[in-house]
Amino acid sequence: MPIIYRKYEPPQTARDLTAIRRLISQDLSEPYGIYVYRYFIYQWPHLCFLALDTGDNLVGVVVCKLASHRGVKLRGYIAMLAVATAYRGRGIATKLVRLAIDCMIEDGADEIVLETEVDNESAIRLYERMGFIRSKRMHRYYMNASDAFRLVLPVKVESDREVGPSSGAGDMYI
Amino acid sequence: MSTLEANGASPISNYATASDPTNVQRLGTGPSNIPIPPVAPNYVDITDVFAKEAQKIRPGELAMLETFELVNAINALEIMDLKMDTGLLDMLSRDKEFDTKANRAARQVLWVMDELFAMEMSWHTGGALSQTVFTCLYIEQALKNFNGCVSSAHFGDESNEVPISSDEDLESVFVHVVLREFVLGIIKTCDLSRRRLQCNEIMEDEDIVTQTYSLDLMQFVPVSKICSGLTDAINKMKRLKTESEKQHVHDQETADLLGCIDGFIVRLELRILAIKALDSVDDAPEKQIELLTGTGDLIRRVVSTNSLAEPLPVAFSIAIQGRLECGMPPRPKVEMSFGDAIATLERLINGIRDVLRIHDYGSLGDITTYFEEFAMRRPTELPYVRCQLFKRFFVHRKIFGKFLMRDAVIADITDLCCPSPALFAIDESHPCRQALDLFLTRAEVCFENLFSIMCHNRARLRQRLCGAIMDWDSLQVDSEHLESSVEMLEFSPLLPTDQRSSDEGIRALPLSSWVYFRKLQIMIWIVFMGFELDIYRLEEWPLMLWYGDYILGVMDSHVARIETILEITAAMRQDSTTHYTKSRKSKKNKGAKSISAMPASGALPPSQESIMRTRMWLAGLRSQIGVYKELCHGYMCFMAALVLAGCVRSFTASPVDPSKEEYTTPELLYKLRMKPFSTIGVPEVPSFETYQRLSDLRDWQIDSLLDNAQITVNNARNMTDVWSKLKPEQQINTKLVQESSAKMRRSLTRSCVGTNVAISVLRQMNLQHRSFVEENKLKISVLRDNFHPFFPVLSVSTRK
Repeated sequence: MPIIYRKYEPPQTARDLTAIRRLISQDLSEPYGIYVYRYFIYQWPHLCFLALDTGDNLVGVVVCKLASHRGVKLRGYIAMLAVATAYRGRGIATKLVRLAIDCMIEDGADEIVLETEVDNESAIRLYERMGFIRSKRMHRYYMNASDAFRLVLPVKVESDREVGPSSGAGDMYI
Repeated sequence: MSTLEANGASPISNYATASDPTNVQRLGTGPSNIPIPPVAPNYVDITDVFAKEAQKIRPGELAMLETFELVNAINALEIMDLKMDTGLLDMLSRDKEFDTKANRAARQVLWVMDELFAMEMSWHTGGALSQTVFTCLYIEQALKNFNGCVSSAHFGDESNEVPISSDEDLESVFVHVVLREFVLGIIKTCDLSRRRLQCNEIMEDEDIVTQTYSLDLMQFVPVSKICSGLTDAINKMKRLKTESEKQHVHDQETADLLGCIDGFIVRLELRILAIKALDSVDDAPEKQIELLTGTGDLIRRVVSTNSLAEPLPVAFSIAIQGRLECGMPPRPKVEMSFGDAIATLERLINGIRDVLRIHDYGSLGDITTYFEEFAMRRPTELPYVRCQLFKRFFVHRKIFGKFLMRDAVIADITDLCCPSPALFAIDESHPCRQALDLFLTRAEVCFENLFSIMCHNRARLRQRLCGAIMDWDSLQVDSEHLESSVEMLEFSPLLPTDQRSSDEGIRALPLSSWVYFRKLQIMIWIVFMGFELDIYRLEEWPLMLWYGDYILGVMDSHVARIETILEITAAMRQDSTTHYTKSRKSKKNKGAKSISAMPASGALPPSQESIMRTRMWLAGLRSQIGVYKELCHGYMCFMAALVLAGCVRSFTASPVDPSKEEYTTPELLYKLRMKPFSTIGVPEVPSFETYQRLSDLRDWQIDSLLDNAQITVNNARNMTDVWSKLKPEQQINTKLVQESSAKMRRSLTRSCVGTNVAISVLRQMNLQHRSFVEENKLKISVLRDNFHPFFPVLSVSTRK
């Protein structure tokens, strides 16, 4: 069954957002509030990619942001990634992450980062196949008390671009 | 979490208490209790304006302040969603149906006591109070009624008086006397622990959650009041038991009741002991040890009566989260079994007892080693114990309230480098006095920080070390600058090395040597803790073993240099001053290179005792470095064999599938991995090209790599054996860490044995034929349990 990939389209906000939230909530130990989804998706709609089946049902999603990090680099951040259980193992997550990374690199990202549970072997494997490495371990990072790895993918040696002041967003993960 | 393709669970520490007290109903305060502002606000109805302005926003458009950040989005309350709104959870709960005033059977009371104890231990291991102790409805009721006076903390409602019934009503006594006193005892132990846990060494949310949601844990109620209530309850139970025994009824029901009463007594006694122990944390260690010793028998008796408990799960509820000043979405109760709770309590007691041993130090240098060993323990000590260590150690900005941190710095420099005692006794008029003072002040900060870091959890510890390394690097620059001044050279005279050598001689430079040693040690910890914390993926192992070996090599040379200086100093000391002066004059006449071979006037030689102590320390260090280095070599050869066979990807190869677009390069990843070390001056991080050149395996054969691996791992094992067989008098710091050092050496031996087994397995597979690899039959896994944390063992097996 073919999968259609597309960017999040703002005019379809309500419907997409509800579907995205429902899909991601299934995988979280504790759900995010609507404001978290709005924070990411409304500010960086072009960094949100959807995977849909032929019936236009959402089966996968990746949500990202791209912002200045401490005024020295442009950091892409993969905030959420989820694929419906029935559609797993078909490379949908890899495709979504690649679409997002390509887009963030095109927008000038110096590095891409994310956090994942230390026991989430499939997620770690997915990202490490793309070149991500574990930069640090964070003790009891998640609400279910499990540790996290910070994964980093350096995509450029250094940037000579001017970047704006840090939004501060994302610093909370440091 | 059952996610397969998701980043994971929600991050912690993102939910803060609601700052607006009107948003949530506080315990003990109904809406009518919301304070009225002193000035009446002038409200304006903006509904129409709001509706009109909202019309202008397109769907999908975000209206927010520039200052609105992710943390605000996460903390924002979302009402009327059962998953997000704790208030809704409260409304739908049946908590009101549970009557805390109601009489309960002894067995049920016993269960509530044990469950509450388990919740307390669960809190000690990181659960929030809202998910542990506060889930108990008896705790809620007592705190709700508490108005500052102990008698107010009862299980009745606010409108009624304390509903303690007459003594005849046994089940009422069990609830309103036994359980109530126990509940107050739990509140007090939480209060005492919580106050202790608020320190820099323990990370809020990460190690422990000290948030009380504005509830007063009876902070100002004296311990004596709580203990007195507990004692009264114990006496009441003892009387009751005596009376029951007099009746000579021997049925099962009476036996169970007497068993429960015994259970109550022992739990209340244990609670008194816990309160007293927590209240006397700063008292003499002997008093603490005495209190803690008494817990052993009580714990055994608590365990033996737990089987009588009858569950009363309705006495606990997470809906209380909706009644707390708490902005978090509903979170589950953090369950802990009674068995695990007992094990946690025993860990806590043993940890506190062990920490008290630091008072038995032989010298301040012993304590440094104790901290290092403490940080390496598996499992990591509980937050309370880690916090307790630092608080016992550093009292009122002084070590044990007696010594300045400067004393510890000097002791550490003396242990390692054995400088002339005159170095730290220079008088005010010495031209370097001020600079030396400044250096020691900076060294104190770095050293204190190191002690503090050692009390963190392992992941945080590594992170903090990455920051500390820069401070030590900067301190090294200071020390080198100081010791290069002409006036300081008298403390580092030019010492003769080998007479036949063309070297000009060697200077001790004790301050720089010490700083460099500590910096290198931090670097070694950072590198090898990466293995311990599973930070390196398998293809990075060869790189990090290589870098670890490189730093160990630098460290070995550095320690060897200190050793050389020590032996020259010792030889000079052994000779008589006269003899030496003559010799010096003679050499001077001959224009010999050892111009300043004797310490200059004022620079007294170190004592024989100091020399012996340093000699032992250096010998121990070189043993450890030697074993680590050999193991590194063995592991590197083993890994190289796996890379050569195609079982593990080479780090210098493309990081991704060649058919896919590459986002990064091995060189970028190398730089990222070396980032903690790239900012420091010495030792410089080798270039990627150097690593690439040295990791070239083209001229190697798998069999010869495995041969080398086996030889070096065997060497490591033999060296560990020799190290282990040193007599106590041949080792430094024996008193405090003898047992744990021996344990650590045993784990090193196990790493050697485990790796040897893996080498043999791999050899038998005859990887040259590569059939295993091509058919993807080889399975490589990392084993950590029982092995040295820095040297986990790779297990090689075939897939079925």
